[in-house]
Amino acid sequence: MLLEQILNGVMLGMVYALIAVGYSLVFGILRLLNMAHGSIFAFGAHMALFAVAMQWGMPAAFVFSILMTGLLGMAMDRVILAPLRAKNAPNITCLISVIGVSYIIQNMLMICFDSTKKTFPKLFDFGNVEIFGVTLTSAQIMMFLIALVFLVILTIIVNKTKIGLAMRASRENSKAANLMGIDVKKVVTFTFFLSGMCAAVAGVLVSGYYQMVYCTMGTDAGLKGFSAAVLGGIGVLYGSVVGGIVVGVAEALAVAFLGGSFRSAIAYVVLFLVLLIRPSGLFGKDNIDKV
Amino acid sequence: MKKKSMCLLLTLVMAASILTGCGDKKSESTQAEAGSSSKDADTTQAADNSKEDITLAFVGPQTGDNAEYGKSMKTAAQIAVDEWNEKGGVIGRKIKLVDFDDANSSEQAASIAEKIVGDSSISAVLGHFSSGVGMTAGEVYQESGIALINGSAAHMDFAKVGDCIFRNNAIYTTDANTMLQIMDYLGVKKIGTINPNNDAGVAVTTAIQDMLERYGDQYSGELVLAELYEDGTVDFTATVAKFQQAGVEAIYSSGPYSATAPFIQQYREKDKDVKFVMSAACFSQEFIELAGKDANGVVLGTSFFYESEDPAIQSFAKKFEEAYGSNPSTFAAQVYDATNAILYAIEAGNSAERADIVKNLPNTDFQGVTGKITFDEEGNCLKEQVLLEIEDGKYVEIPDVLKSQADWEAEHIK
Amino acid sequence: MKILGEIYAKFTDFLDAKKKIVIPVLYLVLILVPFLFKSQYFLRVLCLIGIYAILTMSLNLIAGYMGQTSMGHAALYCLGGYFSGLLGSKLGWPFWITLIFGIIGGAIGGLVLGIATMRLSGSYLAVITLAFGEVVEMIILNFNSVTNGPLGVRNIPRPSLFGWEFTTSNGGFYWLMLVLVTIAVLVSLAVLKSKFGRAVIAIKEDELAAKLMGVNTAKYRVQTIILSGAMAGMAGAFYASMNRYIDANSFNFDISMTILCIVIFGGLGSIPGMIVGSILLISFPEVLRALADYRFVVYGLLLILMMRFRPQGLMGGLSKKPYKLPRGVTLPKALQARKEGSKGKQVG
Repeated sequence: MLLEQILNGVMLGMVYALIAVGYSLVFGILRLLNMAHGSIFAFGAHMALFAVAMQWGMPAAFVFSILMTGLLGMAMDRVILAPLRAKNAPNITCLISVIGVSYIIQNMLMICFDSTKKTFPKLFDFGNVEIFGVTLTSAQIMMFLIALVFLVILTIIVNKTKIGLAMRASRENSKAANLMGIDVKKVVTFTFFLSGMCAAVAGVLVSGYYQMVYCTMGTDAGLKGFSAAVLGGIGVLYGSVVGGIVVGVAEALAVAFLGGSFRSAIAYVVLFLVLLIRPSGLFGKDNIDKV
Repeated sequence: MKKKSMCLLLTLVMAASILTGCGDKKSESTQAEAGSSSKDADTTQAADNSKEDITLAFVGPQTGDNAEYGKSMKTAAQIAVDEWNEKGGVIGRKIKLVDFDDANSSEQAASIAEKIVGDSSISAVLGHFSSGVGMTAGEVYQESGIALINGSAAHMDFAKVGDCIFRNNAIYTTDANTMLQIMDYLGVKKIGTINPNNDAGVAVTTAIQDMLERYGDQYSGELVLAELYEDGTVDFTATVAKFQQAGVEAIYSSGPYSATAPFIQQYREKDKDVKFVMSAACFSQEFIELAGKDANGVVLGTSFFYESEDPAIQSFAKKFEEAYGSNPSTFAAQVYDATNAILYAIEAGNSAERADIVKNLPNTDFQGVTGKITFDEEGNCLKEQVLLEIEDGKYVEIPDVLKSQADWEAEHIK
Repeated sequence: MKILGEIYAKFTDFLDAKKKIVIPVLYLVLILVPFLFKSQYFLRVLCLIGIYAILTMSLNLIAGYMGQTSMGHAALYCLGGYFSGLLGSKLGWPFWITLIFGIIGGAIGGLVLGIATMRLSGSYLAVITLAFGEVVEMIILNFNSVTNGPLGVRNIPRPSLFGWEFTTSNGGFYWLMLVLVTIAVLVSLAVLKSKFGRAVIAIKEDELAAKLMGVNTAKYRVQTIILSGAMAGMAGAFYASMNRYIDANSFNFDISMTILCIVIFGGLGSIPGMIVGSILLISFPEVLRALADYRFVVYGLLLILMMRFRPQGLMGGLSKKPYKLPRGVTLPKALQARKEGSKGKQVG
């Protein structure tokens, strides 16, 4: 029972981790809480739904969703955030702007796609697998594996490639990076593209797993992902993964031992306690700028 | 400086829009005054009003999470109004339906209620989706004596707000009793329930527990596990494991289809044998679409079934399908009946005055699409339900299983 | 365009100069509103604006003066509403006493939040406030025996004075709202002009420097949040009594976000900004009701445009008034001469 619940929690945690990584990427470079990330996640899911409805097939839908969502992330940066940065606006200005973006995305989705919960095809169905006496569904395992692979790819991009080096340099000190010949503007745009991609991957996986898509799917998942990112130390990629899993397991155990009505609150209580003991999150660095 | 002027302009535009808003309100207030003064002079008012349309207000979420419910209920109310207008209206006057969006938020609902109350042309109100939202607004309606009929609230105290507040939805005890009858019919001993942790879910859970306690040994099944979940939950894997651990044979879910469908899907992945019973809240085409093949075999009790033989139901279902694109849900049908109840009350009293409608509504008695519509002293409409089963992606009626609570208790409980 | 700006500047100068006449006249007009507009709906919207004005002034203490973001302010509002509502509904206590308990409830919430966030700032503080909001909601939803859980609190008594019951339609709630908003304004002004306020603003400008100057930052931070909680609790008690029914849903995350948006829209740190912001953003959805589905899209666009073209908010930003020195402080002569020539920066 306990093991089963923990495994359930880990699977759920991977979803949160995928969303959390999107927050972390942007925060790492811009010190900005991208509150629109939840809506972008819902946007990704709807793009995939659109492609599926057009009968382009699942792989095409996946690619289409990733591209569209990545572009949306880039567009948000270019149109709304870049001019603010050019003016050296304080971070809170950017925060409110992205909240505005989030309102717009979510309500446009509602207007274009209706507010009903729509079916999404199941992604994987090869029966159940038994691990340590616990039955896990193939959908759970595939979701876990894909999320893991994607997170590994992301880590490689950030740590081993040239653009990743530029991203890390901009994170440390964007002025110095600029002086060293790094086009920080491009790096930021790329980061937003990457973060949008994460949202899309998470969106498609989550809708495939729960077999439904709806406009407000980003609200709750977005907040949980956000908490996971902060819990792990926002800006640190592996921290987000650990944070996601901690939140997922806390939820599963809350349901198992206290009941379903305690689930998200317990996740937030864990967050509360972690931040009381380690104010910058599990793996976070100490100096964090103001919002 | 330029920016400052820009901002100033922006402010001016907004201020202007608000002033126009105030302007509307001003005209409303003068209307209200006119209404109150004309109350003193009944004769002149009757003469004035005979030319005007009778206005009914529908309030429900048109935006936000529950917009689909609000939109479908509005469609149903509009159908009822159109039907009356085709027949030439009521007491010789045409009927007009105005709609308001409360986004299912108490704060907005209360403002809208004040707006409706202040508009003397509105005779009665339909709708509000959630109990909490409806009750906040209900206080306002009650205070100024305008009737509200709701078709979806489950809070036990909903109709207790006052004598102006009516509800055309199965009350929680009816739902609980229906569930027990179904479990008895299915022959299951170990029952589990999963309900949302909101007013409706908690009311139904408590009702089931109380009822089982009252029945004692005379009822064959027992409640093994009663689970609550947060509104908006989609991941039920942990809950499923808990139910499996408890070894339940059948599970009752009273939540909306958007939570019940993923729950059933996630349960079916791990267990093929367990039986599912739902409430009328799930009764919709969307449930089958969402749950896919896992929907097959699910049973539910509802006061309304669109494939029933009754020609009135057939014609309503057809019109609804044309207007909305899918089969009517129970809530939509209940709002349709609620609209008719108001119009019958107007006809009976030969008056569209607010007070007369409130006075005549308790005498309502007609055969609606959701059964016989009468209100008890609190303002609730007792519902009889039919049993439906989903077979090959379609709802099929299983006749003669469910009885009214009183009949069933007389038979089974001493 | 330029002319408009000048007119505006002249207008504000005029207001400042004739303060002693303008304020009483303004109050007289405000008091007369219920006699001029009989519409209950209009008065209700005004009351709602008043509630948000109090809430935003309360958040302004944390966000505007102390420079921290709270994303769970509705939790403090909620505590005030529940403390007051439960005492009124279950024990039948009169509003005036439950109002005080509502304020205490909000302050207790502020104390807990303040202690929890003593070591945090920025995003981490924001997320803790978010978590605090969720935890408060959980307690209310699951602590059934006291809070009535998801069924909410019903039959909350209305205030009455000498046998006269306050309602929305007789203007009672409106006048009560005016009084409460005035209290909130006076408290905000008092904070701004006190040693306490200067210490809090020092925390915003540079917490480390403030600490080095001997300001007990931890103490001031907790005190600010307690005060802010008390104000939010006052708004909650008023809301509970006006609505007569509350449940956890009346105080959700959306409300927290709305409060934060108004504070930034109105202009961080500016008291008139809070009031004007509440008037505009609360009446906006009411006016825009006709736009139905597009309402929130317009709302979002408005926020973005605002941030793009006037990030300091409607009323925020540089004040043209010379900086007034606290009583008992005098500048050396050389500095005094310079001060007369230049225009200082002031919050508020």
